[in-house]
Amino acid sequence: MEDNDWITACLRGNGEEFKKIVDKYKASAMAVAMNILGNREDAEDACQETFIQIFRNLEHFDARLSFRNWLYAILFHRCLDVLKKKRRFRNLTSKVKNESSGRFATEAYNPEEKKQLSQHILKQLSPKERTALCLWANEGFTAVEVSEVLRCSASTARVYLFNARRKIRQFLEKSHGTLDPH
Amino acid sequence: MGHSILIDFIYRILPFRAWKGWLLRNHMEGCPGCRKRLVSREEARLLLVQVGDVGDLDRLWPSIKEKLGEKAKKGEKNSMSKPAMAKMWRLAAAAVTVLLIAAAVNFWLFRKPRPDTPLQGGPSPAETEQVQIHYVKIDNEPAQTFIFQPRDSNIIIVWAGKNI
Repeated sequence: MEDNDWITACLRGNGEEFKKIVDKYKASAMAVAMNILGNREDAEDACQETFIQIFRNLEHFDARLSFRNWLYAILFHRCLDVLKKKRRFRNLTSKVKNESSGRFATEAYNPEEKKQLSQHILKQLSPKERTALCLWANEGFTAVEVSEVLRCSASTARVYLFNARRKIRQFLEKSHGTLDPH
Repeated sequence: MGHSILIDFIYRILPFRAWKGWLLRNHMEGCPGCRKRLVSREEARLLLVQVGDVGDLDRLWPSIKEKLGEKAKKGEKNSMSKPAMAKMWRLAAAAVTVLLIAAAVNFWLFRKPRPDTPLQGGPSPAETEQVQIHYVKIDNEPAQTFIFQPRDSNIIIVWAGKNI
């Protein structure tokens, strides 16, 4: 209900209320963007663009729906745009690198290596699978909520999530890695 | 193990995501054997960037505010939004196209014939002396007559032909 009050205030011309929305969602939006994009700079750009787009389209927001899901849906599409641009740039410069797997097998990881391992595993997933996994694990989204963000059916969202979870398990089994936090 | 392989095989051969989704919802999400083959929520969290990992985001709001300000200024200068401008341009292009097509149709359908045709392109009877032929007979039979004035010429050619 809080979100809707802030949105109403913004629509009445009180732009400062929008800061409250940004403050509430910036960290979780940034985490989602970093998980989809894999780096901080791109994630910051995507978040910035997302909040600007939201501000400019507040009047089109349907108050009966979840603001959080609407925000993540816009963020997801901004991230896809960033990935498309990067892919185009990479194709242009022909500097595609294929990182080798297997380096992580049964090693003890320091935090930096763990981060690299995480990035490497997440790269095995498609952007939609990464988004579904991130929303499910970090935000506690259900398949139906994930489908609202990805703008697909609940069955499709379930398939993305399942594929993501299975791919990670298979990768870990193959490389004998563990995700022990200690 | 055999159960998981069978279910996995069925999952793989199902052609539509809707069917796969149905299988996931009705079996795999509840089956301990199948769930074992999936990474858990807690394990997934260890891979993902968490809210606590994103660090300092103090720069975000000032840059958003700045960009919103820039866009607002641009908006004042050019009060039309991008989609509205695009719509206007589309309408203008459509109007120009319709006008061009109408002009072309008008030109080809209603253009005047060349003036070098008998009597039609010449000066009006009021402007010049009129030539009138009441009747022409050839072999005591009414004949076909043509009066022809070439363009930019004072010569008038009268042509009479026998009706066949």
